[in-house]
Amino acid sequence: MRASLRCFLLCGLLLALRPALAGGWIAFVAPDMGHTRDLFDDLRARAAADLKAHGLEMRFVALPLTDGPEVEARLAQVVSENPRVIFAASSRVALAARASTTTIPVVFGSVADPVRIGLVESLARPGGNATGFTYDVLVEGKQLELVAELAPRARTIGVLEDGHWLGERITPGQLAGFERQLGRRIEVLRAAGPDDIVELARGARARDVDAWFVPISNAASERRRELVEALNRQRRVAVYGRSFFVEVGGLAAYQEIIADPMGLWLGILQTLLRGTAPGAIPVQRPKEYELALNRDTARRIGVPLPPGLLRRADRVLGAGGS
Amino acid sequence: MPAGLFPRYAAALMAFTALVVVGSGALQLYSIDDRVRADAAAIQRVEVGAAASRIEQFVAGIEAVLRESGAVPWTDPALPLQSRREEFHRLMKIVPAISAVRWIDAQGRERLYVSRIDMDRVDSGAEAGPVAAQAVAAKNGVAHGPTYFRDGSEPFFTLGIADRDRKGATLAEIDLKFVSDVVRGIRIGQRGLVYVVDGGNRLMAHPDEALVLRRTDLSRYAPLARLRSSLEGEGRPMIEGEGLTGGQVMVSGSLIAPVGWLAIAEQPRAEVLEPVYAVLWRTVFIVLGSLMLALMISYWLAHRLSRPVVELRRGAQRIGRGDLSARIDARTRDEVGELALEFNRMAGQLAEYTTGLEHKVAERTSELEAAMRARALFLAAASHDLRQPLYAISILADTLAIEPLDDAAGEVLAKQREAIAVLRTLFDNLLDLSRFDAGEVKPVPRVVALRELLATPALEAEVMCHAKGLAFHVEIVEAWVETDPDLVRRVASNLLSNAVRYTPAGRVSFTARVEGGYAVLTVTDSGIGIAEADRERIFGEFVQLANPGRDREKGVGLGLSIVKRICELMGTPIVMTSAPGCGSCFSLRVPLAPTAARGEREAPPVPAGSDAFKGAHVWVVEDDPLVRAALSMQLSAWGATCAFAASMAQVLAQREADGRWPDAALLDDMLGGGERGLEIASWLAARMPRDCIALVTGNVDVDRIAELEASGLEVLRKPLSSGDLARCLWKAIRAKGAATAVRDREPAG
Repeated sequence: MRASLRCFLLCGLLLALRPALAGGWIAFVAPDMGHTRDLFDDLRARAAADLKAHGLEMRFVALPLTDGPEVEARLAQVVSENPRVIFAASSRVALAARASTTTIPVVFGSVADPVRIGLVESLARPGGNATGFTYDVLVEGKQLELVAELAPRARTIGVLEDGHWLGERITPGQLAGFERQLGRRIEVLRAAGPDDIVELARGARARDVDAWFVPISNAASERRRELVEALNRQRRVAVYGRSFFVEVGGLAAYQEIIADPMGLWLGILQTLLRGTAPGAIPVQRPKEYELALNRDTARRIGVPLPPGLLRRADRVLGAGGS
Repeated sequence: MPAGLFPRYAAALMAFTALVVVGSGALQLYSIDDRVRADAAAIQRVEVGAAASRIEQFVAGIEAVLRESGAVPWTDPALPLQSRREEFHRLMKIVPAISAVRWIDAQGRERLYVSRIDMDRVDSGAEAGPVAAQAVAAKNGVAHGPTYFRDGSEPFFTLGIADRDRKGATLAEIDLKFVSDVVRGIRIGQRGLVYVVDGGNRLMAHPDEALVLRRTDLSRYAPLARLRSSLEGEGRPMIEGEGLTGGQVMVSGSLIAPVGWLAIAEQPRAEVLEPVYAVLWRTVFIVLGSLMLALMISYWLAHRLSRPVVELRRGAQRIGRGDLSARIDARTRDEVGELALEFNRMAGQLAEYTTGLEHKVAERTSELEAAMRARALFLAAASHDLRQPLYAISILADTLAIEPLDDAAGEVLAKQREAIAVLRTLFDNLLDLSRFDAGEVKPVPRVVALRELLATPALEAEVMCHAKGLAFHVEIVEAWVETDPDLVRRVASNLLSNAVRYTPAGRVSFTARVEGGYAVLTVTDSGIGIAEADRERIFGEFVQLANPGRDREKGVGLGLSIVKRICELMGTPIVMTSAPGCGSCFSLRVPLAPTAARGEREAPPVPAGSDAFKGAHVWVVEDDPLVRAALSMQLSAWGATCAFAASMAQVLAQREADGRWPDAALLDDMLGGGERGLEIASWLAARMPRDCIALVTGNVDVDRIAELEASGLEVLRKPLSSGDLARCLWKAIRAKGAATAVRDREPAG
């Protein structure tokens, strides 16, 4: 009887102390930029109850912006501290995390196709220790279609890519298909980094470009204002991969929308804390899309906005719009 | 131990009330359980039906938009394809769930493709699949394609709406993740949810989208098959099973008819049954409370019912124990109260009767005591008056016996002595019986040798047997016993004399053996035996078997009565075995003396014959001239001298005359002139050895006898036999001799 009572009391004590005994931390690994910090704060605030229940703390792990071996080194260091979960703010970070650990769950937010880059086996059943969401719906064709619609006389469409943005590159095969469908030449300009992308937009090769498409990348995001200014100065059509370019003066943007990416990460975190393996959690993709136009920019750079485009735009900024 | 009335009443009442309360509670619970479950099922059914309606409306809304779009005459040349392209973009803007729209012409070729993801296509000529044709062919112009998973994880389905002119159809690819948004917003109760499965039991929409993206197949989900059966009319509307993510749930469903999907509501069982549990607990508490109250009332009622009966019982017990003053407090006015009143009345009457009876008993007892006293006085007077002449006759006959007589005279004397013996025996026995009945006889045990104790009876029996021609066997062990020798001798003598009398031929045996801590005396004869019917009777007074003529040769019929009384007095039972014609056997036990007490021997045998007490001088204090004469002759025959006195003065004068104290003094207690022998004896006892003094009495008064015995002097009963007289003298002479030796040993001066 006494042994049973002791066992019962011990179990009760363990249950009560489980949160404290569970302990541990969760790593949010991302380049230290304004919007990543915002995402981190948002996720941590929304996960506060779950973190407390499991005795966890979430810490921001800053990465250098360059795409060098220091990323792997940093991830290895993070892994050595045995976090419960690693949130990887990009597929580059996720790949580096997976290279360091095959047991710690890695939750990613990827722009690239996670299957193609080797993060997961399939979207429905990722397998391994990585899961998350991806923006990869291959809307580049739609974005280039938008460039052709806004600049019907453009012969050459320039694509400003970030050379360090792993996986976020339009493949040659895709480019060829787009060229065929649009009947335009597509020139891909790859920047070495944020400092280089604006110069690239102003450079000699840019002179041959009639209209621009700027897919989402770290370099473009980092230098969005300068880039937008530089491209607007050229008074050429520029379609961007994210609406926030339009917010800072870009002409147009078309993007896939994940309305609440931190909400998705929160849901995945809760599922992981319930004991589900990361490989059993499907990778989610966007189901909404947004077309944003800036009428002020259109007027400033002298680009008429087709009525049909205006009608179907989801956001119209400038001249009384929002 | 019989169960009390109160516990039985209480148990019966409590059991009945408990049965009623618990039974009604259980019935109520059962009916409530059924009702609540039915209500919960109905509510869940309504809610899942509402969810199904919302999904139907979701699909119907898209249909309506597409139908409205399809109503435009797009084939009119006035409407270029671009305008339809813009129309499709508009559709996608207003219906976020539409991922792509296609226009299929009457030949089933794709004319226009507008997508959110891919580049738009115009006149691609791609094959459209069967849905467009189905829509065109459908009566309502609507066709629902099968659900599929794009890129292996995302659920879609194709909705086809025929153009109004049925010259084509519009196909829309519907992203079913938007249906998950719909079901995510539906709550069943607090923790219930809704999900959707298609006709192939594949999960199409669920609040947890990950389950959908995993292409979860519910074909083996047990509740689903039962649910489909119930929806087809077989079974309960709400079934119980394990939920998709675990736990016990209650499940209902509703068909989404147009698309053939099934909306399923899943609610935790605990939540569904919460009203049942609430009612259950409430009912349990009410039942328990009612039960407690009912038990208390039952207890009180049982107490009220049983208390009057318990009072009756207590009163009866008190009366049974003799307390006739007990009365029952009848507080009730019912039959029990009347019974109590009757009981009290009966007790009063009983008390009166008992009181009267006690008075009568007291009266009778008083009368009996008076009669006993009168009898005792009569016996005392009669014994003295009767004993004196018999005493004298006996002494005279004994005296004459030692004189030389001729044969004729000797025979006459023998007959006379025989008659005297019979008379004395009868007298002694009657008086003995009287004394036994009066409680005058008290055993005086002392340590005595068994052989010496039984020598006289054995000798007498031997003589009798020899005279009758019977064989006599005697065997007495050497042992010491502690008992009243006179009483034991009496018993032995009576038993032996009876044995001789009732044995016509054969033998008589007298044995005394040691068995355990007792000496067992046994008298056995080969006489006529005693029938079973007479075994008790023979101990009665004057009862003689086989002596209808009262032949005095066989005694007077008092021997065994005396034996019985003596044995009762000594506390030793008389054991008898006998059978007619087989003789009889009587035995009794006498306790052995403790080892340390042994050694006290009875006095040496009394001398007998003439000159037995030659030289002894005896004072006889007796006023009866006949007794005086008899004693004088007896003492003279023994060679003793005697002097007579009848009062204290004469004793003093005799002392003066003799100049010395006598060797023995024999004093009659009842003297003339109011004097008593005890006073004179006490005076003598202060001046001579007490053992030299003997009192003789014929008094039967218990108090007087006790007074005489309390003096410590020898007390002899009349009629005094020569043997008694001899023993008394012998004792006195020996005592005087011991006193003389002590005196001689004492230093002079």
